[in-house]
Amino acid sequence: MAKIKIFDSEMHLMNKIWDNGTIKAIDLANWATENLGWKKNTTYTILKKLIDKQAISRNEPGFVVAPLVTREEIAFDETNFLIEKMFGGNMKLFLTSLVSSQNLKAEDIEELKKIIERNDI
Amino acid sequence: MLINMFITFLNMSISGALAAILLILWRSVSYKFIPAKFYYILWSALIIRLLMPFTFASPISLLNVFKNTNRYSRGGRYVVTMEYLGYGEITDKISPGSDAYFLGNLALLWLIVAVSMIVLWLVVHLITQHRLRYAVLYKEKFVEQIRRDFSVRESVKVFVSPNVLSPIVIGFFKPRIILPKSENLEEKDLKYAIAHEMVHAKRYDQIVRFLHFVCLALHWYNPFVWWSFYLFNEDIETSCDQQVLSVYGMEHKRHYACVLVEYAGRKNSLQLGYLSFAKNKVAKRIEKVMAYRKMSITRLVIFSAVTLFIGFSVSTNPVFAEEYQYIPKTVFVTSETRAEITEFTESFIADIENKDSAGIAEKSTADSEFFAPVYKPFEEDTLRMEIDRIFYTSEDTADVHINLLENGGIIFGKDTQKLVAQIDRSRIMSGLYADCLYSYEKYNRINSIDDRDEAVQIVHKMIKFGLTDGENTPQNAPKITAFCMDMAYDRARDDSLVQIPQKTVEDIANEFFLFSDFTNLHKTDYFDSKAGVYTYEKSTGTPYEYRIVDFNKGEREAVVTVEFFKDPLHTQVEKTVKYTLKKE
Repeated sequence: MAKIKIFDSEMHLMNKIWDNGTIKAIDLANWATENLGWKKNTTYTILKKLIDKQAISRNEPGFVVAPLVTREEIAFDETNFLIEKMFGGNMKLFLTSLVSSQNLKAEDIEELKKIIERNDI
Repeated sequence: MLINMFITFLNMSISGALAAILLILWRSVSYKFIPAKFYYILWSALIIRLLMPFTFASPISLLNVFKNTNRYSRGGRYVVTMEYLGYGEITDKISPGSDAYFLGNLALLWLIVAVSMIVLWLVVHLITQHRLRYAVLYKEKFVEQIRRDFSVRESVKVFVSPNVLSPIVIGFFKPRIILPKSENLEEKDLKYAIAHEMVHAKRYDQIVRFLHFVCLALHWYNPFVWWSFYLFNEDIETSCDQQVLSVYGMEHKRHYACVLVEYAGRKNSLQLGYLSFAKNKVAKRIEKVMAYRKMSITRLVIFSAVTLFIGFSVSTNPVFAEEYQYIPKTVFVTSETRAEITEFTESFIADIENKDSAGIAEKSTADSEFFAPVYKPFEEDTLRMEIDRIFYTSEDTADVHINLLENGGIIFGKDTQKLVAQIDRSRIMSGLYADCLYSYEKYNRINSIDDRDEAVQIVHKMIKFGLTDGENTPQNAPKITAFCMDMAYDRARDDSLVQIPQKTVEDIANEFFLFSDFTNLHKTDYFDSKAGVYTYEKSTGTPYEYRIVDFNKGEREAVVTVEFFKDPLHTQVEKTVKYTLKKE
């Protein structure tokens, strides 16, 4: 568990960093301008926040950034946070609502059962 | 200075209110027949009227209707209640005996509220920009299509942010459209909202709204301005709705209205330039959307022409009236000065009542022996007067209104009931002195004459060089020469001792006095006949006690009436001279 809170705006950049593995900050900034419409300063501001949080690392030469946490770790954190917030920490309730809101095919249900058994939730 | 600005804006407010009423009436009659974007012209005219003190004069101006009661001043119609006399009445109602201070405080209050409003607006704007700094580009393809359909420039981009509840446009020169983040609207619904905002961006509505808000801030006390603000916003929205429908086609009306309803439920907490966002406003919009249809050409043309006419006449000033009322120059004045001037005035009046002609002469000039005989008439009849009001016009000057209680008519003229004494410190003596003492009617006439007028300036110059009667006579040749040299000097604008060619002086003499053969007439020490030049030295001229009391200007002729006085107080007329100046 990484226990780092990533905000929505930061998530955009994290996803790109995860997709690339490592990336030069300048390339990231250009990508952000192209795809998100952000000014360079905006991107660099967010990068600084992520570095301070230790979600990413800054490497020289050339201001290259790399993730210090994995996507899974963050996803895990966010999910737990959501379960805490909406279902009072009750995993069963969460899963029930998830299952009943989706249209699950038989094979999906099978696979879910296997995962539950494996993880002994 | 602040008070002048305040009075100017007050005037603009009143004429703006009249214009607003006219516009509102016309709009309520015509809104079914013309597209809302025509009202842009009307409301823009109103904003111009409310923001700019100077507008163009035109014969068809609305204010010509009021011409008889109109007093010309900058910014349009001069408020009758602010008339020189009435100014005293206003201050009397609020605080008896006060004067410039009241107006000064009012002006300060006006300024503080206006500035606060604008600052508040800017703060809200900055906060909103800050909140939306992480909005993300919305890259769907159909946005491009919308941009093409409405011919919107490339720099207007569409973003998405969780921080807005309904689509808005933000930014003055590089506007951004921000959409709310929501799952339940699809492309075909979103496209109406985006198109609507695109039209706003294309028309620079954010700038228009800001200008209108500045108007509102400067005229915050005027309910008609608030009313017009409310209606203008309605028209801006309606015209955007209409534009979207006219491009996409009438068959989209119903769908469009549904999208409006969808967004009606959500209100943004920070709405720039809007006032309240009442529910019935949206209902009205939907009504108008549903009622929109293509109009017959003839109707359109007629209503548009009338609209344009109204817009034009509302935004222009009347042709300048012939007389304009003196505008009081009131400023903040220290209480010591007030006390000083009051004391001086009371003493001055006491001197007149007590028939102390030496005292009167002393208070108007240092040379009491010379002028004492002039004030003898004051000695013969019993005068009684009292101070009505003192208008402090600066730290060194004041205008005192004096009521004549007894026998004023004998000395100052039949039916004279009010005098004006001008108290001064600036010029001759270091202490206060009375500059003049006129009847109120004469004072107003004198003050309504524009000293900057060319004809008036020529007369001043003539008098300066002693041309006070029978100008075209050979005996006056030296004076005329001096006058011509001075005129040549002014025109040349040279700052040193000048050599003025003979021909120049002769031309000017011919120009002003119709002397075709001046060469034979002039006899003066300044002339060097061998070189054919006059040597000019700037002189102060002859001092006279005189005032210009009447001024009538026609197209080709101006008649300036001058009274010459025996005394500095201008109470005894020596002679009256009429200068007639003709133009080719």
